[in-house]
Amino acid sequence: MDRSPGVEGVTDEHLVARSAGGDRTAFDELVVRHGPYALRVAARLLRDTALAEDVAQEAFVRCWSQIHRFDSRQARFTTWLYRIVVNLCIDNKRRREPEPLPADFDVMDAGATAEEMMESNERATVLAQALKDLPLRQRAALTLIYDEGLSGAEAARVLGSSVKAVERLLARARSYLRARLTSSHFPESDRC
Amino acid sequence: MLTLERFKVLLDSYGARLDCWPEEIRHDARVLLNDSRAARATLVEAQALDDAIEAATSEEHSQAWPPGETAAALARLRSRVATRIDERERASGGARIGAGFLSCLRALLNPLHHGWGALLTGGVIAVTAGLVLGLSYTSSPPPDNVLFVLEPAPLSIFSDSLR
Repeated sequence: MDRSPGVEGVTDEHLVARSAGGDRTAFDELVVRHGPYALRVAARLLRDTALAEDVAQEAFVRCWSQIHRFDSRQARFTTWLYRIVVNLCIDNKRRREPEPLPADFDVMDAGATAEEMMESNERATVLAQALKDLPLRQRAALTLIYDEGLSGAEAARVLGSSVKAVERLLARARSYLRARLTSSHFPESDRC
Repeated sequence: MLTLERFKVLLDSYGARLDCWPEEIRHDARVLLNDSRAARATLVEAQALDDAIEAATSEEHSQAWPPGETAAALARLRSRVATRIDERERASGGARIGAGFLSCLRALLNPLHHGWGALLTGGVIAVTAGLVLGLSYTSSPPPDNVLFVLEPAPLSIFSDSLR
């Protein structure tokens, strides 16, 4: 990846300050540094790479247009960027499809799907499908903390909620995944 | 001091990787794991679920962009972001010029902007300059009555018919 001279080793805070002054090279470096993350998170939340590229693009354009208002002393650039990406994903998903049923709703139904999948012995597929069925905020909490290594407090800032609320999202997500996984191991016919 | 109940609650949220846990609790969690067999057993159960989730997400991620495509996706992102910012800058540049022109026009047309005094001074200067120029370029010598400038000039068509 070719980089512009004079930006390597410069902190995000300085790049943000230079970008706020209209320095396009500094902003391009922010795209190079944090673009992969924006793409990865959007792809995981939307499960569509073309949409993920659109969302990441829109997120950076919004960052550029608002960067003069961003205060590096209040928050990290990445937290701000992630928040824009996650919100854009939520908006995008709402436009495309209605929010799925709560994760704890009718797990038996999920078991039936898992039973079909057990026939082909694809345990990972069961869980992958279960991940897809998670409500987007639960999925976002999992992605931010498990995959991207954010702390609970950082994830809370990105999601615009409290740490406790993030912990509840994670707990509900894990409980749902565990139920789906258990159903795939012990289908209804084998349980008695 | 971390209780086993609170430990289980946190385990249900953050999973078995203590690195993901809130920093201020990690030490207490390690102490509890050393002391409690029940805590260790719960951790093992949670680890199994973590592994399954990790396997599923990594498989999912590998399907997103094949190796090498990630760099191409980033290159596309850079290029498209730069293009869209160019477009925005051009649009806002055009809007700035338009807004500047309108603002100048408003300032010129709005006497309150500079005050009535400025408008009056300008008017007096313009009338005086007109009078001076009129007197300088008149062909006939000025009569005694300086108010001749206000008298209408005889029309040549009538003067011809009178001859």
